[in-house]
Amino acid sequence: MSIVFLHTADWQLGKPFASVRDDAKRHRLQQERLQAVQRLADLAKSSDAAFVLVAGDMFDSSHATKATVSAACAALGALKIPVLVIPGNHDHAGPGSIWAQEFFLREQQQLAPNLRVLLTPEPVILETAVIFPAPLLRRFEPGDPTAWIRSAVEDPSLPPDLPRIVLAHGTIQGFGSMQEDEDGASTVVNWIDLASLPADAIDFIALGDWHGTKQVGPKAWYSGTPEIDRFPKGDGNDPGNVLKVTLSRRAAPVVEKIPSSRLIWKELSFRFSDDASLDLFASRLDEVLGQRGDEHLLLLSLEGSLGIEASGRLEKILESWESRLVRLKLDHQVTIAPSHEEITALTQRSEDPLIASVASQLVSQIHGETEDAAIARLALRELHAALS
Amino acid sequence: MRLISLTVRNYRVHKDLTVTFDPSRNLIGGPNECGKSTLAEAAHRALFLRAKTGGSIQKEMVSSHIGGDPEVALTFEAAGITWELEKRFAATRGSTRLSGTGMSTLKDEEADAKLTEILKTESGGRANAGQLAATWSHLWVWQGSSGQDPAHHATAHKDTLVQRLQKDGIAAVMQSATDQRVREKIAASYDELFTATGKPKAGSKPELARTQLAEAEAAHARTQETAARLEQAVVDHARAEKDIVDAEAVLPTLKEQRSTTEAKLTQVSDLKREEETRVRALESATATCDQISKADTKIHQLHQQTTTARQALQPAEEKENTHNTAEQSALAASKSAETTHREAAEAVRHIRLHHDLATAQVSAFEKSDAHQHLATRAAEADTLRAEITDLRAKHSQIPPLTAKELAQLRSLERESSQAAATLAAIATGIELLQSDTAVTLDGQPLTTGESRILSDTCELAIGTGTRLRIRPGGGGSLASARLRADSTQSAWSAALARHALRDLDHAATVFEQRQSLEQQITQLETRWKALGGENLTADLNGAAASLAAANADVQRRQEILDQDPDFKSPANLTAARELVSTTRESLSTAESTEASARRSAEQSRSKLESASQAIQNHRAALSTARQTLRDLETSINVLEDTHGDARARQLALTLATQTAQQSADQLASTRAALAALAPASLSADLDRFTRAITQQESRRREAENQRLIARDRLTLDGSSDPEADLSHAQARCQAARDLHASEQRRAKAIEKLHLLFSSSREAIDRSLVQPLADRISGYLQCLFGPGTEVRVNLSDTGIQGLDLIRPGDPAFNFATLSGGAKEQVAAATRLALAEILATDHDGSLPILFDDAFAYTDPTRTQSLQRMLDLAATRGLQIIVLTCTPADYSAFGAPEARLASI
Repeated sequence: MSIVFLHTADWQLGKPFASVRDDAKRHRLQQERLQAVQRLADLAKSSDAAFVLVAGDMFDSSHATKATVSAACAALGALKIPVLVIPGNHDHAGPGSIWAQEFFLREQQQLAPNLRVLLTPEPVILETAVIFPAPLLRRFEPGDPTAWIRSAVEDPSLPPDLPRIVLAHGTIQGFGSMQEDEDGASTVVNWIDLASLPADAIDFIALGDWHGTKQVGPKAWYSGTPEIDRFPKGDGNDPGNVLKVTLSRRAAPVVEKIPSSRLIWKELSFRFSDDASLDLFASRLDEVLGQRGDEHLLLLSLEGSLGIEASGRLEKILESWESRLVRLKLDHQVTIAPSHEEITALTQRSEDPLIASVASQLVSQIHGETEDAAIARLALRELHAALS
Repeated sequence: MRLISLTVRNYRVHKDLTVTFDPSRNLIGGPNECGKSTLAEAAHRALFLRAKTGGSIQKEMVSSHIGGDPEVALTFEAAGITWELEKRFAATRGSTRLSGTGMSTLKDEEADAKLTEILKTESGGRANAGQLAATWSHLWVWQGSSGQDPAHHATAHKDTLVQRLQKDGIAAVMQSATDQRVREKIAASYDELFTATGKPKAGSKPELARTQLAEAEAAHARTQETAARLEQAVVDHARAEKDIVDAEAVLPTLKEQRSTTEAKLTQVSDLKREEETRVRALESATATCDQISKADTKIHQLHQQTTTARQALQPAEEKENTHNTAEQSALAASKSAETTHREAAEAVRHIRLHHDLATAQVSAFEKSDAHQHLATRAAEADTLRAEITDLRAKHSQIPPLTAKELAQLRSLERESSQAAATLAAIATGIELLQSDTAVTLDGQPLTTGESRILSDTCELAIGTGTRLRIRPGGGGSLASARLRADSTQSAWSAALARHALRDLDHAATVFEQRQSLEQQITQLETRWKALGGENLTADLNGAAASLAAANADVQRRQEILDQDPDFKSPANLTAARELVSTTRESLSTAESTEASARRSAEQSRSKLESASQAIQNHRAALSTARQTLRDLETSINVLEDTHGDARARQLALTLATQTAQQSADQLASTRAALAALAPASLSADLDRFTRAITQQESRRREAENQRLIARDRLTLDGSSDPEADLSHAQARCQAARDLHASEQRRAKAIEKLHLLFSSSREAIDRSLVQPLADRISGYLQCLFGPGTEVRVNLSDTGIQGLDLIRPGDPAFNFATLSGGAKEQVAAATRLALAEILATDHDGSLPILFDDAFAYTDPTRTQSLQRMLDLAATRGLQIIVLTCTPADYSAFGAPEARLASI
């Protein structure tokens, strides 16, 4: 007899997205994470899942606000089927954590009675499976949180025919132990020694913490986050999915990756060779984002050099896209320097000897990467602007 | 442009005057008030003042003594054409005419318009009064204005100057309107950002960004602090948990150790109790042994004592008989002594009866004698009594009169005599010796020869016509004397009567008799009292009674002795007294005998008592000894009842000794067990474990408390997420930092631009004014010699001033120059300007100096003429108006001289 369940993790509800300046957009990003959870309801129903496993970091913080807690419980309650959650490093079950707070417990009871938070490292026997949770009881778990499972899984008193699933949150060998999240903060994650878990006795290892979907062993998977929350990290990274797992005791798991992310996080690099390349850049943006871009987030890296007038146009293009996109993260390395024509126009003005003199002196200072050169370039732009 | 000729009519002092001009050098001389300046003004107004100008300007032009409208006709050469200009200044009637060679005549507006064009001024020919003074003021040096700073002329004509210089191929440039606009725009931006002293301006964008950055950083610091507090709480919590775990790890062991120690202590306590029990048992067994031994010993002792007592009793019983015998003999001796004593006592009694009788008889005799004596005295006293009674009877018959009463009588008698004498002395005697008429005294007729004693006021009437009041003694004293004589007389008489006396002598006699009698009575009474007086009778009665009693006593005693034949009553007192003496001796002897017998009897009695006592004592001792023996026997019985007989006692002793030995063994074993437990260190161990447990529990409690506090700190109210807050604060901080950097950078860019504009503009202006300065310097070198220079100072608005620099001297600003130097430098500047500007006017312009060198000394005037000549050489038309034309003789100019009016 096989069972079907959904494996997900790293919802990070309540993630602040602090670097997004616009309140509405920031709210939108936060809401999308919640809606991703709401969308799970349809998937659970259509796949006839017996339960949902959330492998940690359901909340972004172990001090999530009441509003986040209530919204999360409401979304969880709508899933109807049992949801088993372990705390991860973000929402660890340390002292004073959200899991023990009276408000959370009340909301859980009223809104999400199907939610079961596993805070104790002990087997949980369901009708259709046995779960071995490895909850994180602090942000930095010094040992292997799954260590206890190595012997516990051999307990003869456990139902022998039910599939056995490890539910854990942390890093494994082969990944770096440091990750950098979208806001640039470093997160040390906990270490899971996958090799020490008795492979034969376990049927599936549901992991959380790595935001991309990834199979890390014959039976071990990171589900990744269901709603992408950071810009792409290389080709191997595949975030924005939920795993539908079909499992039987002592049989290889059948894992189906189901895309679940709505927001599209993209990256674009462009180098301006001359002012004419600005048009090329504009068309590239259109290609990548379409005309609206309202579900897009873009990490834009710009290099090269543009003339004063062209850079003014660039500013306008960026202004538009910054407004249209959910987020435009800009790595603006473009040197804005007057073009040859602009220099000529500024310096060769016999009718305006004063401007010509000032411009000539500035032009002599704009070269190089020094702060003075940058200021001279900026002064030229101001002069250019004052003329128009 | 050059002036050719000027004609003025009806203009101020001039009715009609024409002056013709040399194209280069002109000198117009004439004394003061001759109208030189009027000519200068007329030429200027012809060129620039609207002909229809009215008001005071027009009125001042009108000649007061000549009349008619002022007219000016000016012929000049410009743009290769000779122009005839005529202006009639008649307010609204004013007119202008202008005709050029080969051209139709232009009138009024057209003429003015043409003039403007020719003169290249904005107000040529039609300036109003306000504009007039400024027009061509650089060329017309009015009297009194020659020393003014000429810099503003240069500024006013800067554009033209530049254009001219450029046309001449001189490298002079000038900022354009665009330059100006952009410069001002940048300056405005700069002013928005910086203060006048170049400091960042409060409220500017960079400053706002700085404030925002500071706020964001403060907010960030706060959120960091909150996050750090939470981190610290996590650390505290972990440490507390570790402490709790540690404490809980050691506590069970400590508690077990404490329990073990407590159990041992309980054991020790039990053993100690057991030890006490054993000690008591041993003591008890030992005591039993002792008791049995003692009882046995006691019984032995008692048996011995019984034997001894019994042995002692026998001689005592034998000795009792001896005592009985002694007592009997003592009793007999005592009885004999008693009898002897009784006989002696009887003898004494008998003798004492005799003696007492004799004594009583002595007393009776003595009493009888006393009674006799008293009776004699009583008889004597009775005689005296009778005499006294007789004398008293005599005394009572004499009138009673005391010495005091006698004195009173004498006094009364004396007073009466004195009063009578006084009265007699006062009274007046009257005697009627002869009268022929009736004389009455107090109405009573007084007969002739009648004499009367008048002792009172009386009225004497002689005849019918004469009445006399006679007052004897003068006043009322006569009457009072009489009254007194009467009263004393009556008092005296009354006193005599009261004492039944005849007169004073009688009184004296009576008194003496009374005194004699009283003396006799007193003497008799003294004798009577000496005899016993009142008491005598009582004494006599007492003596009688005593006698009777003594006789009765004798009687009684005699009756007692009636049976004694030996007793013979004494006849008298002496015999009685002898008898008393005899009996007293007998009595003494008898008493001595009696005393001896009594002592003997007492001794015998004492011996008897002693013997009786001895026997009683002996009997008591015997009884006691018997009782003791019985007691001993009883004790033996009692002890033997309790302890049994000797065999039984021996058995019991053996048994008790064995028990004691057993107890001693058990006690030793208990003590050994107790020692094995080392009770001294157990107590310390218990303290130690208890202390350790308390410490660990306290540590755990403290840790639990810490954990609670940390948990409490970590438990938030859910209103905000500190991690999210920190992210937000970081992001806001970064944004503020970026904005601040960007604003700072823009401010620096603006500042740079502003500085560049300022420095560049100054360079340009300098290049502009340098040719002008060079020309001025050229002219001044004519005056001050080679090496002299002028520096033109520039400001934002143009040329600000001039400095004169001469070799070897410091630079002098125009304002600081002397009046003469000012005139000269100003003239040089005007010439330089005119020279440059003349290019637009066919290479020539007229320049007029109206008494412009008033402060210039004659020496300098020579040099001045060189400068003016240089200007003329360079094409300018120099017109010098002076009241001292001789000073300009070296100028080489044709001179027109105006005569004084």
